[in-house]
Amino acid sequence: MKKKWLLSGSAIGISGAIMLATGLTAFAGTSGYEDYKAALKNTAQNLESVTVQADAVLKDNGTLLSQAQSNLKASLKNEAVSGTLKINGKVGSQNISLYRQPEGLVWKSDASDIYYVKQDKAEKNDQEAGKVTKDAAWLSSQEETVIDALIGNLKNEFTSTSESDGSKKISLQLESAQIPAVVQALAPVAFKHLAYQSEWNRPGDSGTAAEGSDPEELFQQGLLNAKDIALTDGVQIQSISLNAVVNPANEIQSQQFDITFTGQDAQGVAHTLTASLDVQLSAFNGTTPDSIDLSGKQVQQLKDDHEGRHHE
Amino acid sequence: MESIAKLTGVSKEFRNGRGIRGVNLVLQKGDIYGLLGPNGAGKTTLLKMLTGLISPSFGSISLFGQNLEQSFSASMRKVGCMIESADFYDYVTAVQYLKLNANFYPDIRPQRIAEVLEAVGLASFAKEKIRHYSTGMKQKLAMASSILHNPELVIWDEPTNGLDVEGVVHFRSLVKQLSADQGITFLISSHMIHELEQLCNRVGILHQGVLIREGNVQELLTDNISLEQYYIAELQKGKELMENGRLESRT
Amino acid sequence: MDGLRAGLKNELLLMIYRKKTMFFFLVSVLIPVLFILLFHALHPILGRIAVSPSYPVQMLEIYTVFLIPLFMFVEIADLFPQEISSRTLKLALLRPITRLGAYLAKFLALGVAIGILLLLLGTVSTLCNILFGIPGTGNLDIFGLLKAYAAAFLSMLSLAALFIFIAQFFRSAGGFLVFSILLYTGAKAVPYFINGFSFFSITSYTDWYSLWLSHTVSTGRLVTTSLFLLSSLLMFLTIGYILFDRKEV
Repeated sequence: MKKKWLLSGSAIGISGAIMLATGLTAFAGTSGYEDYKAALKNTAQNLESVTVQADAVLKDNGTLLSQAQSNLKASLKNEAVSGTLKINGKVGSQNISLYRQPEGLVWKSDASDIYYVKQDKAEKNDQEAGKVTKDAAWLSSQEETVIDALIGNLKNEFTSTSESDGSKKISLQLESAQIPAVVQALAPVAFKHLAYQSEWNRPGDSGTAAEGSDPEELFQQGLLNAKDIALTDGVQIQSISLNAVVNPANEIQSQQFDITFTGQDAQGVAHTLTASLDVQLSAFNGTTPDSIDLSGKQVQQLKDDHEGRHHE
Repeated sequence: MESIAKLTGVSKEFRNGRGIRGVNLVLQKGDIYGLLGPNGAGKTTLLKMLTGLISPSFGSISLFGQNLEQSFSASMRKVGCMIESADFYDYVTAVQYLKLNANFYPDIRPQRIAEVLEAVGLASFAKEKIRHYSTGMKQKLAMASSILHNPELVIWDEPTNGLDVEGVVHFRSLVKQLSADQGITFLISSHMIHELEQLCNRVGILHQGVLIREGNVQELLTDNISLEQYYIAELQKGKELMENGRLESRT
Repeated sequence: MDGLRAGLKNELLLMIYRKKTMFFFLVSVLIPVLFILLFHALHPILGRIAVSPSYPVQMLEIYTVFLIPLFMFVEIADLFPQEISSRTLKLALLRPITRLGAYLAKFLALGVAIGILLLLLGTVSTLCNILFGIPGTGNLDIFGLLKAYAAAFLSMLSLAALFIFIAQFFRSAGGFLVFSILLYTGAKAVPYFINGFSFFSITSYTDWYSLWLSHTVSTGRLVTTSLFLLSSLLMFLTIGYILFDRKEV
């Protein structure tokens, strides 16, 4: 009798202690995920101005489909942005300069002298509302808890390695089997949606040619020619990878994101689509965006087609 | 004579105040012991303690000379019982159920199942689901399963519940036969005194958790016309005793 | 242990005699096939949906979150509270088997049933991939698959131990079933409100097997999470036993 109690008592004691210890280890342990989250929060919260170099590449079976390179200077305080955007696609290449200043968003293609200006008052209201809450945390703890829960055990897949100079490399590598089934199931839906949307936005290719200098059109045409990536059968995410470098000041210095889809097009040809985004951040809080004086220049006001939708 | 079961100072208190108080009981080999008592006297509780379903608050229980708790499974190998009521997994057939039981006793011959079903008169219902059995049939199946492994001690709690007249007659002859042929010791509880009168060699009367009288049936019968008369008289005495006890404790 | 072998055999036989166990086995065989049929039905809308070598693992996610816990609750309800309410628990306890043996027999029988369920799923979904899989979607990594299934098995056993412990407080199968489903969904929802809860909750480990598919997860992480699951398995199993042992049948 005594032996039985001793045995079960010690089993409970020991296993309870191990459970608590391992739970606490996982709870307190700084995982790559926590490092990444902390760096993201720190970067976003203290950010006033920054220079962004972004490079987006879309490849199909290893050949380049389109590429967008941008160099942007942004100031969150003044809500100003300036920079250039270079798009290389199958249809040719485009250089676009863009500015965001008090009169709105200004676009100009290198191919013409027209400045397109788009005003969006609705967004301005949003930003004013945003200003009020600026002092609040960038990500509320409630939202953070929800995101943590959604990520679940994927948290453990983030790895963090510290370099000798105090910076950290954080990476996440997922292969198809590790990607949650729900996300995986969305892949064919997303491709369907993409094809559907491109049909909508382009009543006919002839129309696009006539209006060739509208940068928005060019942008869509150059970067996302949905016909090139029209995977219809067996679409799935093959891999997702995320690499980030966090500098000693705990700011995200560079951020790389790759996603690879596999599938077949309508003709049954197998494709491997790779989308990569490489973002470099520099000159934290030391960037002043350029501005452009529109007086005396050829300006065309653009209406926002989507505005109606936003209000719905 | 060898003692088969021994209860020494066994007590059990329930939250509702009822229970068993200080029972001493010894079963000798070959006994057919009748445990008598009105409803709620504690017969089932006593049998549950004897078979380990509940543990006593005080006292010690041994079967075949071994402490019950220390050598539970070794002792239970030699015991067959039906406690409280004949309950079964109703989604199995009688044969399936007996086969499950046989798994606990590696030395049972396969034909033994048919034998015990025949012995209790259930052979023709062997392949029927227990769900469709009547109370009496379940009672018979419980008897069959408790003698399946040729036990040395059989404990039956109210075995005649739900049995028809024919069934009761059959039950008596089964007990007599098993006792005579195999020397099996029986402990049978009942609130129906006349059922046990012609069967038992010893009886004990349990009243409000106390074993108020124990005796040899032959000796009791010489002083009384029938066991029933003795039983009623003893219960009356028991009641008076309890009431006196209460009065004394008040004063 | 005395009678454990016979006890386990009997609990398994009783599971088979109960129709719902076979029903669950049948459903678990059919679900991967039904998904294939669903994919075919969705063909005109979404194109062919990839059935790839990771299909067995993707199915595993659905099973460890929904089907196996449900199966577990139904079986535990039959193994414990149902036996109390129908007064059949004594049938096993009056045989030459100790309380510990009877208790372990029930737990092991449930473990075997969960194992069979996983085995059926793994086999059928692998067959589905071989028969309906789209070529060129990668290679089947048998070793990785086995690791994932073994890990899923451990997390399911720990979950089973937790709910066997909970079942000791119930005397009716229906009450236990409702409570355990509510508790499980509740425990699945809590991490959305309380940060850090998931580190201490077994219910958050249903997709734990995915760690074993990774090439980047550190060994330390695998060791601590395995230890967590093993120790919780042992703890709830032991507390459950103490309660079961004290039961007055």
